[in-house]
Formats: sequence, C-alpha cells, structure tokens
Amino acid sequence: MPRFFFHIDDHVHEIDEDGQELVSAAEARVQAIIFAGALLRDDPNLIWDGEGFEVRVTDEAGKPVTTVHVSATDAEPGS
Amino acid sequence: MAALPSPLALLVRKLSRHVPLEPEDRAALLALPATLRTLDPSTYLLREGDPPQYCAVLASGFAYRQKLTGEGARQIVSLHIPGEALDLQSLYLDVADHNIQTLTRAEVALVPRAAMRDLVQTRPAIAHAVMVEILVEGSISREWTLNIGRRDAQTRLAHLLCEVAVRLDAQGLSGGEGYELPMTQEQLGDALGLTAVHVNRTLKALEAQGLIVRNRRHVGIPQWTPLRDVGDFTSRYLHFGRQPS
Repeated sequence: MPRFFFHIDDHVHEIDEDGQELVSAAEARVQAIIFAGALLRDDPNLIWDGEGFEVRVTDEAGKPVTTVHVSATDAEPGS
Repeated sequence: MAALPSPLALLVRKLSRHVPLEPEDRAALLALPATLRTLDPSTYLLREGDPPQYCAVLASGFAYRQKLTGEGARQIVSLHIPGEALDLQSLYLDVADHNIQTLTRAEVALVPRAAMRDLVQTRPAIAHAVMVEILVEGSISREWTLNIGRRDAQTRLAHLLCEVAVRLDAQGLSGGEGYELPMTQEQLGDALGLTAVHVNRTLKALEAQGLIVRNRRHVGIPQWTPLRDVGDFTSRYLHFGRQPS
C-alpha cells in the first residue's frame, strides 16, 4: 500500500516523518479531513484570526496529494 | 520459560481482590471444568448475535470487545488482560451484543457457561465477587465513554496508557514502569475514536514531552505522576479495594 504523509500548517508547521499506509489517495483525503476535524475539535483556536489551518497530504515522493484548508472570517465591527 | 499460573488461579486472584473468598470458594473455582486453548491473534471468542457457550478466562495475551456499525466501522469498547474472565457479563444474557476477539496470541480456559452459573448460584461469595467484577466492567465502560466523548486526543491516549499500566500492575503483571502494548496504531485508533494518523502524532507528542518512551510496542513510563496528570487519570473507577458486603 502507498504511504501518505500528513503535515500540519497553522501558526506552526509540523512535518509528518512517519506517514501512514493507506489503500489510495482517496482514502488519504478522507483521513486528512477526519484528522483535521479531530484536531480542531480538540483546539478550535488552531484557526487564528485571518490565518487558516491546513492538513497537507503528500505522497512518498513528497508530491502534494490533498490539502484540507479551514479558515474562519469574523464580521467587520459595525457591519 | 517459567510455567504460567493456571488461568483459574488467576481468576481466583482477581475475584478475591473484590471480595474475601473462603478456601471452599477458591477450591470450587479451581475445580471448574475448563478446556485450555491457544488461540491466534484476532480469533473470535464470541460473535454478536450468537448464544454464549463458554465463560473464557484469559491466561496469557490480550483480548478486546468490539462492536461494528452497520457500515462496518469498528469501535473497540474494552481491553482485557490475563486473569480476566471475558464473558461474565454474558452469564445471564442469552445472546451476545458484541464481539470478543483476541488481540494477540492468547491462551484461554473455556469454562462451560452452565458450570459457571451453577457455581455462582451455590456460592454467595463468588456471586458477590462476580457481581462486583461485572459492575467494574460497567464502570470502566463509563470511563471510556467520558474519555472518548469529552477528552482531547492527548488526554485520551494518556488515559488509556495509564489504565492499562494500573490494571497490569494490579494483576501482578509488570505495568507501572512500562509494558508491552500489543496494539497497532489502527487498533489504538479504534479504541480511542481517532484516526491512525492522529494516534501516531499523539504518541510522538507524548514521547517528545518525555511522558513515555517507546521501543517498538513497549511503552516505558519514566515518571508516573506527569503521565497521570496529562491523562486526567485517577484509578477510582477501577474499584481496586475490597468491596465489603
């Protein structure tokens, strides 16, 4: 099975050096979304004002497979 | 290799920790008819929907209970260590509501369910101890619900590592300073409601903080207090003390 790497980018960058064997890129996409959701559930402040939060999946060659990007936008004061 | 204590002797040890057992109670437990089996990892001891035939006692190895969603997603709902009876909760329920599988290669003693029921009906102290054991399993289950429902990934995993350490220790199997945890990251994920990716990240985070030391499947615990604090763990729900009648 191919190995996929799940990196986290928010105000810090966390590189996944271990990776995970999964059946396909489609499964890696699903796992990335669930992983991102669980990280945000644990700490909603991972989304900093104006800055997004990303789980970036790469393959064994380091090529991008999928990026899950989550951001929040507050209303302008007075609007 | 040292001879393993008989599985029924382990069961006596476990039950007598809940309730004082008279020599006659101990002798009756040790005299239960039991068939010894060595099982490969992932062998089913009981399948959901089947009538339970045996009360299995684990002599060595780990086992777990699991349930599946309609779509086949698996949740591991409890873990079992040597000396534990796997099916006391099915003693009075005629159909299994979950699956029981070995996690590792395991030696089990299969006691016919009817023999166990007869013993419980004739010896009040054993009935009391079995009742406490079933209630403690319920308590562990409630703690797991809290753990999975309300604790973050790091706390959740640290809590599980603490629970296994303390249970192994209480059974007289080394645990407090570290132990062999024969679970893949996927299996840990199935027990904790996390993806394997998340389990891997969380194990590394615990290790980076010096809370655990990993060597393959061995989990070393250099200092108990910091891991216990991170895991929000107290052993109250395991009810280790004797339960006076």
